[in-house]
Amino acid sequence: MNEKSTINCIDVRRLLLSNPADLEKDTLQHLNICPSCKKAALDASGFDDRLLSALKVPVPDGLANKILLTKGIHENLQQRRARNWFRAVAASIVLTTSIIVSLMYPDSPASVSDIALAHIKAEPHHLQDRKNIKLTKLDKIIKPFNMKINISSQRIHYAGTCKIRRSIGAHIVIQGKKAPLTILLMPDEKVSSRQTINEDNFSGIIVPVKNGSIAIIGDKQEDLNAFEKQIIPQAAT
Amino acid sequence: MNKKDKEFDALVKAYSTDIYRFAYWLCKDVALAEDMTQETFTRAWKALDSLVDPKAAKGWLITITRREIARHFSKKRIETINIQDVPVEQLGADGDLSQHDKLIIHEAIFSLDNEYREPLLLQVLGGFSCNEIADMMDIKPGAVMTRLFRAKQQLRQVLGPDIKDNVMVKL
Ligand SMILES: [Zn+2]
Ligand SMILES: [Zn+2]
Repeated sequence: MNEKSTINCIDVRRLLLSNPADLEKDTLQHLNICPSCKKAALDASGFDDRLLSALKVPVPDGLANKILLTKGIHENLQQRRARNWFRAVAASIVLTTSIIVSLMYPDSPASVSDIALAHIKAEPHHLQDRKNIKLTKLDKIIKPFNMKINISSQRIHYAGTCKIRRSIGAHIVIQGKKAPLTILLMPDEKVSSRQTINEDNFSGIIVPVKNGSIAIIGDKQEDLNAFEKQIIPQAAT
Repeated sequence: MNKKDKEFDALVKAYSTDIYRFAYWLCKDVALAEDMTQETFTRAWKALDSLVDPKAAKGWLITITRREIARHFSKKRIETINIQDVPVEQLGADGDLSQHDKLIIHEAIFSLDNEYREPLLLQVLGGFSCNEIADMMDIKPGAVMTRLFRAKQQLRQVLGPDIKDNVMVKL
């Protein structure tokens, strides 16, 4: 029974993470006699359930029917080539158009700096927040965005995730020299080069990073260059 | 409908959703994932006679999908500019997770290296055992276990045992 069992808690924990569907008899026996491993087993299956629920992304409408309809195989292959070609042409038209539009209208309403500024203006309460967020909490919030920022010496008034245009970004407010300063991590918003904002009572910068852009926006009087060097050192030229 | 048509019809209805999701998590691109799903079933139709055991259909299809995706990326290496980040709609509205939780998991899964992400998908989404995954990926079962263990450890570090406690939407 128990003495015969060669499996120990460490083995069990390893199996729970790596092969939970295929637990062998000795593992199951161990779970019956070891409450802490039993709890770990419940945790692991709850974790897998949540993972599975996140993995179940929505599927395009009528996918199965589309596949069945295009079963005329060779015809299907040709269609696929045509579709790819069409998609490529359409994409290049969109790209060209957006370049032309942005050249014609430098203040086009879709610019990243406008989006960032509009986001801050839409949430003025975050400039009033004084939540004194801990660095460990900040790290947890920004980790998924995979953008390195360095905030160690400032008080963090607010940190959370927000919908910014099409996707979710991070919204952080720290203490500046003059007034609170907003930092937005925008994974979906790409800019080709560093941009500055000077509008109303705000001054700001948008800095391109590997996987999107980061905005630092503060009071008109604020010296943002110093903050930029500290917060986004890797972008410094 | 003849027998082959019926068989194919059943395969598509049973597995197209799984195949699409598997492709999505490897490609991070909804249009490409749909193409890869189409391509998988196109090839499956042509090779249907080689599927002897209907119980093995899912693994067989996934193997085709993996091959198609590998082929796609080796051909298109030069132009693999991934312009598409995860749109919020793509996270799905159902289930008991909030959009924020889902986004965090999304990013965490995509941040895994392919060699860790793939066995994880095969296990959690595909429901395959370590040995089956080892067969599909042509690696040793021990290596599959190690990768799964590390993948989940890495995800748990980001997500914590209970995601809801660790994703601070409002602080
Ligand atoms: Zn134990
Ligand atoms: Zn916000």
